[in-house]
Amino acid sequence: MKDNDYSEPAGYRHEIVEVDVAVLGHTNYSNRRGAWNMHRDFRDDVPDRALQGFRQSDVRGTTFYFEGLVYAAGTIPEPPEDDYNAVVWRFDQAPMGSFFSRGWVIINNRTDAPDGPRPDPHLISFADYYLGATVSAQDLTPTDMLTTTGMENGVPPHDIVVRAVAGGTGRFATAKGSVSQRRIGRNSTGLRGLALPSGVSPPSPNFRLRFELWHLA
Amino acid sequence: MQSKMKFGRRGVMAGVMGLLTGALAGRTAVAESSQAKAPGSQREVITIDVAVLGHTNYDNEDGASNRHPDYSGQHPDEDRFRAGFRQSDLRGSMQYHEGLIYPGGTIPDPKGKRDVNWDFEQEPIGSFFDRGWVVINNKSDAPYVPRPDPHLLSHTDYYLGGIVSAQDLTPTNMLSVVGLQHDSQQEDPRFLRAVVGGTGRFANVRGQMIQRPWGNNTSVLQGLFIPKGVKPPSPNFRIEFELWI
Repeated sequence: MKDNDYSEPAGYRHEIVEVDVAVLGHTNYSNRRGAWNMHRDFRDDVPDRALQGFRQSDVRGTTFYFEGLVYAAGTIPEPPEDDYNAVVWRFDQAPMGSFFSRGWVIINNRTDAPDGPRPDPHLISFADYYLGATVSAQDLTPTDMLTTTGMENGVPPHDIVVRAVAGGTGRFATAKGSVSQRRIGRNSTGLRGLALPSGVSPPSPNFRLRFELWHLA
Repeated sequence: MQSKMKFGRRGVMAGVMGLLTGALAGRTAVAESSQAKAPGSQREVITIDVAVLGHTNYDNEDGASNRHPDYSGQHPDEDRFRAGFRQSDLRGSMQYHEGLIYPGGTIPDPKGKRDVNWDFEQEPIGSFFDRGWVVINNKSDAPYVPRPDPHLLSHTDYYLGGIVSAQDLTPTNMLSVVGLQHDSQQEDPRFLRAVVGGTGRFANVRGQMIQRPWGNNTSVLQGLFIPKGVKPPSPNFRIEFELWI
């Protein structure tokens, strides 16, 4: 991923921050109530036909939420080139922080209008990365948070999404910029959610994030 | 924890002075400035008091599929309802509420966490709107959880220049904030959130804010997380914005 080649404006300080993150798949919750243009086989989770029904569904209107853990960049190993879905992370090291993503699912596999279908990207979301510590009852809002907004995607491999950094706290209180997100294999937590028939729980994705930040000097 | 929550980088004292000045000024939202450090940036601390209007609180728990039946089914027995809540994961729920804004120092110092110290005796200077997700997790099937606190992850817009109304749809001087939230049950319940933008004189803003519980008001909090028949008062908060505009 090439960094933006803007010249550094006077009065601002440039910084690159990289982290690895692992999605905790069991924290993924969806609310499909708003998505009324789904195929009935998907909507009703009909055994053996739900996945085909998903491929004929517009799931826009669905909201989602999930959490994950943050590690120093390089902690999560790269997967083999021929197996980008390899489980490369089993949570055998304590995290340095937490992150929270929430927003809307925008997968549109059918359409009644001139603008679709558009199966990718999958999500439009807000995601907050607490880099100073994990969020807990003892530390409700750890310092050094970065908040981002934009599109997200989980597949296919090597896709990179770029999102906006809207602000932050602590040492990021005057930061704005962008973040690129690249998937690096999967982890040992089971993913649940929209496109998954009942009982199916594949490994959850990991990502490497590269924040390009501009602080007030 | 406490040291983490203080404003960083450009001086705790200026923030404290802004708070004290706001308290003394009473009816006026007070700004404290220092010399500009960069083009388009001037540091300013603003203190306000806010009162949540509890009857504007609406939840949608349809997405929270991991709730205990006594809780999700709104069991009429209060003890069973509460026990069910303590065994529920509420993540996936959405929430919305509104509130009123006053100059810093308007709402009296609370005498304790349950003190009802505001009955809306004074006209507000603005409105705020909070919406987002409930993150309470009282059960879990996996590592690093459960985590009952904090309670909310939300976006909040503070309209400081007027009350939102049919006659003034988007009052000027708005500040938009993102981050986790909590109520008054913690030992040190302050929380730190990011300021992500604004309008009017805040159109070029960067910064952060600290919010702390400031007693309760006489509006009744409603929500699916409250047992039937229970009518708790709604919380107030004191907020300190640390801004670069």
